[in-house]
Amino acid sequence: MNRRLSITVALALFSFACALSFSGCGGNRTDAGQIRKGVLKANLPEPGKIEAVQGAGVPSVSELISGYNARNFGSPGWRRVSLDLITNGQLTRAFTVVNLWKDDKQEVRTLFLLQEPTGLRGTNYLLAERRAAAEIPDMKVFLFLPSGERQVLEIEPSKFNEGLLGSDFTYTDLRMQLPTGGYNYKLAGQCVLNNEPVWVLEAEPVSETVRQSSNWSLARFYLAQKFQFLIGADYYTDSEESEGGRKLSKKMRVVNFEQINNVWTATEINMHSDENHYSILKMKDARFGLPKIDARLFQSNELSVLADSIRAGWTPEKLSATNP
Amino acid sequence: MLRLLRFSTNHPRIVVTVVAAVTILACLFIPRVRLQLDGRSLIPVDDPRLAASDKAAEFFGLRDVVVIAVVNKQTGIYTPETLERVARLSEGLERIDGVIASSVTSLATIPRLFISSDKINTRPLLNHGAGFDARTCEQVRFETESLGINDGVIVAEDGTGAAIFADVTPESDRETILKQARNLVDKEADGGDSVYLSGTALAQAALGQSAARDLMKLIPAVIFVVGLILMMAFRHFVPACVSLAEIGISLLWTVGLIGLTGHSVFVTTLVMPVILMAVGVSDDVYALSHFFEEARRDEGQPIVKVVQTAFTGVSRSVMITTISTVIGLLSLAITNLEPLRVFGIFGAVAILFSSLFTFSFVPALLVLLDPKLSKKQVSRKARETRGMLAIFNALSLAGPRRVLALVILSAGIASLMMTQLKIDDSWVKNLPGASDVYRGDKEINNSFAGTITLDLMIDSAEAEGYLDPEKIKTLGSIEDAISELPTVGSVRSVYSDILRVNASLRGLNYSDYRNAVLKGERELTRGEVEQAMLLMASVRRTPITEQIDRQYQIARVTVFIRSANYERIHDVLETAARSALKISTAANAVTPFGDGWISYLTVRLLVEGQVWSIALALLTDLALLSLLLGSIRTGAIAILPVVFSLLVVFAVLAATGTPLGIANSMFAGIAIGIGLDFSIHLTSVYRQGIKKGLAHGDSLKRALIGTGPAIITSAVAITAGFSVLVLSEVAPNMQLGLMICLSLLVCAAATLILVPSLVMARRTAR
Repeated sequence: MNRRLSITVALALFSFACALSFSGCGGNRTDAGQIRKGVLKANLPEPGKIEAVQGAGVPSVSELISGYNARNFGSPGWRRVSLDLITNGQLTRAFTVVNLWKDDKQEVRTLFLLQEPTGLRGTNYLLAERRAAAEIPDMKVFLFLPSGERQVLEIEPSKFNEGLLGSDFTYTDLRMQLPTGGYNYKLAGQCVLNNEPVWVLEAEPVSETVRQSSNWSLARFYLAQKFQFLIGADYYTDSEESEGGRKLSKKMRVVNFEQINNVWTATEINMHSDENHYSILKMKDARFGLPKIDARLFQSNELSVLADSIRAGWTPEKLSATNP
Repeated sequence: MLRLLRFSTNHPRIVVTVVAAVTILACLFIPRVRLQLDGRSLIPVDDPRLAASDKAAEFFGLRDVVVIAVVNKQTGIYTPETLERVARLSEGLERIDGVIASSVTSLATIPRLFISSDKINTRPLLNHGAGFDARTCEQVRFETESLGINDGVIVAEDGTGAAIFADVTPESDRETILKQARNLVDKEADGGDSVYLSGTALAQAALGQSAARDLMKLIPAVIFVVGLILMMAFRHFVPACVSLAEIGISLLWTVGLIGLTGHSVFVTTLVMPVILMAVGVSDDVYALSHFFEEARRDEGQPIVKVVQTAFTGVSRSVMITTISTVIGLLSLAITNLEPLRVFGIFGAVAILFSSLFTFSFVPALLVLLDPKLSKKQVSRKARETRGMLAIFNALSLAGPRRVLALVILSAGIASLMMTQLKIDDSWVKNLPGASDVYRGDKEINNSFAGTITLDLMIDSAEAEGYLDPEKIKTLGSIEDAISELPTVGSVRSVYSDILRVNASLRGLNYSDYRNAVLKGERELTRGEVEQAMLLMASVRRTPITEQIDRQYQIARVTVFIRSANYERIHDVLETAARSALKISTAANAVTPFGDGWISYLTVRLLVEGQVWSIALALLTDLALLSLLLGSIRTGAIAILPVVFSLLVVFAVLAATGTPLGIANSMFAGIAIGIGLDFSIHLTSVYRQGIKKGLAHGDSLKRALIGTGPAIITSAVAITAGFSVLVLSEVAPNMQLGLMICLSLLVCAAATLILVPSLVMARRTAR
């Protein structure tokens, strides 16, 4: 091989090397679907191993449900809560909501009055739960929208599992009672959750219609054994890919709770339904057992009056003095 | 190289055994080769131009889509039969593996905010399992038109078609989805409706299937054609078999290397083996020609001596042509398009393997097989000599200057025509015309707003910016400005949805309400904007986060473009950038993303890549040839035929309106690589003659006689090899075949006419 040819080969090899590095072949390859969503590192209390229970001292399912539904939740009362929506670990939306509730033995009515953000002030919801109803829907939800036509609208029962204010909490998550109709309950056992011994109550929709409107096929409620309180809940949907044919789709945990004036109340609830998105409900203030609250406030046609009062600066603290 | 040649001829069995062993090893890695089907994979992960759009796509959860359209031109879609079909297909699509069930969007799934008797209902227009009667159909029509859903996306504007869209998971098997979607559509064959399939996910799968079918058909075809041509050229089966075995083994080694290094092959370059088989034959033609010539010169010589003498004689020119081919292919590697880079790099590797085998495996096989010369081959040489002399005499007679003037004139015309060259590429347009996905896409582009979408992420530059009525109205003005472009089928953003919600709450027709807001007859307050956002955020089925971020700062505008191409997408981008200035003056206020943007960027990268790769290949070849031939002028002469052939092909593409795309753009690298071989052989022999003291005319005559027949044989063999690509189902592959054939024939003719004319003209001038 003569010298010129050697130079040529060397040049060719050099250009080959240049082209390789220029092209970035090897380190630069495309990898379809390279974007991976970060999995949220949630530090939530998890239930311990569920132990089967039977024999004396074990409450029946109906005792558990009726005991829970008959608990003292400080009616009538109010609380101010913050609802924070967290996406990818960042606070993306914050609401301040005032809750008023009243139990008239036939129905439990709960108002959700939006105070913040300012643009939505006056947007109100009214949730009416029938007590001990054998059929579902056993509740109604009314919505008042202050802008535009100022309408009071009723929400279709099939949509009770839509996200309240875009959060992970649905309308049904915020009800005061466990529904008595529409679901088959069974006591799955007991375990410990958030350092509290709990009964594990499982619920399955009785029909496909109920399943579709619930958005879950199995729910597991963790009810405190020592007092009447719901400490957590897990919701499962059908999934062929998951073990047991079900996958966890939503998880509620009462992270903090306390007893105020003999009423057990949650001071922080977390709801996770998406790996990158969750919602936190925190109690800021509360008053229980306020006999002066006017029952007329809990009528759907009063929602517009409430909205105007809120916009005019009404606060629940005034309830101890006068009604809005 | 010569040591390798000697070793191979002295120990042929060892060489053949080693090659066979390594080939088996290479075959073990072939199953590791992955086929890339998604559009995003065309452009490298770290390309800065895609960094922002990748983030935008992730932000809004953008994925490849499946589209099914139900069309009934006679009765329209508002009949029980058609609406039931839409509901059935929507439900069926939800059950397909790889389809994200919650993403299925159609009349049967999208929640519409409808108020009746003060009850707010977000149920889909069509309910699963609900019976349809004429009254229900009329109600669906009324609500669809009232809510403005008949904007060409899920319902055709004239009400003759309904479409179903669904996202697919990135890791899903596109072919399985296509198969199941076809089954779904086949079940709906009865009745008066026509059902069509389209969408990027299905187009990718259909293209993958076409390319795979192509390979099964084209590889045997190219083996047969190249083998036949070699048989006819050498009148002997041994050279054909040896050459084909050598090319096949170099291909197996290359594909094994692709698997070993973890690289992927792309559907647009799946035809690589066919191309490399045709390219690889080039050197063998010259080497085997010399082998037979040597054998003919002294028939009594032992085979080892004949092989060594013949292959030593061509070693220099084969080395040079290998380098030029490698440079031509590597020039593709400087583009920013993955398929071209992978093709360029591994194509070059295949050629290096092929050249290595030309001096090892091929001589070893020839020694083992010891082919005998037939009488026909002797008589053929005299005919070839006469032919080459005729060319020489004709050029002398016509006058080299006249020939040159004609070539310059042709080049000038070709350059002018080249300015009209179109550059475009798309998954669907690459599909065979008979494909159901191609036909479906065509129909959907006719009846609906289009299948290609360009997404724009528009940043309002402040948190809760889009709760400001002025900013959200500006988003609306961007929608309106883009909608006015004649090629745009529909534009969607959260602005439309807000107006739709507000119109529903007021019981108004969406279009009337939108016009009233546009004219300022109706006010849009912050409270109404927030209220609408809140209602939409409450609906799980179509998450508002696909339209706007949770802080209401960044919005997405989706533009449906009919038969989208580079110019149409460019118009939308310009209009959006102009309109977005009202929202934010920041340079990055508008970030394009989605299929349309990838397609647009691919074309831009293709143009930039073509210019740079052709320039770099020609300059590198010029430098190398000048060095090897000892003269810049001779080097330039050797380059000119291939430059001329490129001009002619580009001009033909422009004249026929054939766009240059990813697959057919590979022709330039291949044409430079192979086409240059012709003039290298001719000019090398010419320069050798001059060095030996021959007169220029005699040296040229000798070069023409010595290399002309091989140039023609090689051009015909390679052209015949590439001509099998016309059997391809994939249009760009067919075009690539034709372009290379044209380029090589023009280049071979230009080499035999232009190079002698330039040499003669130069001598005459002196």
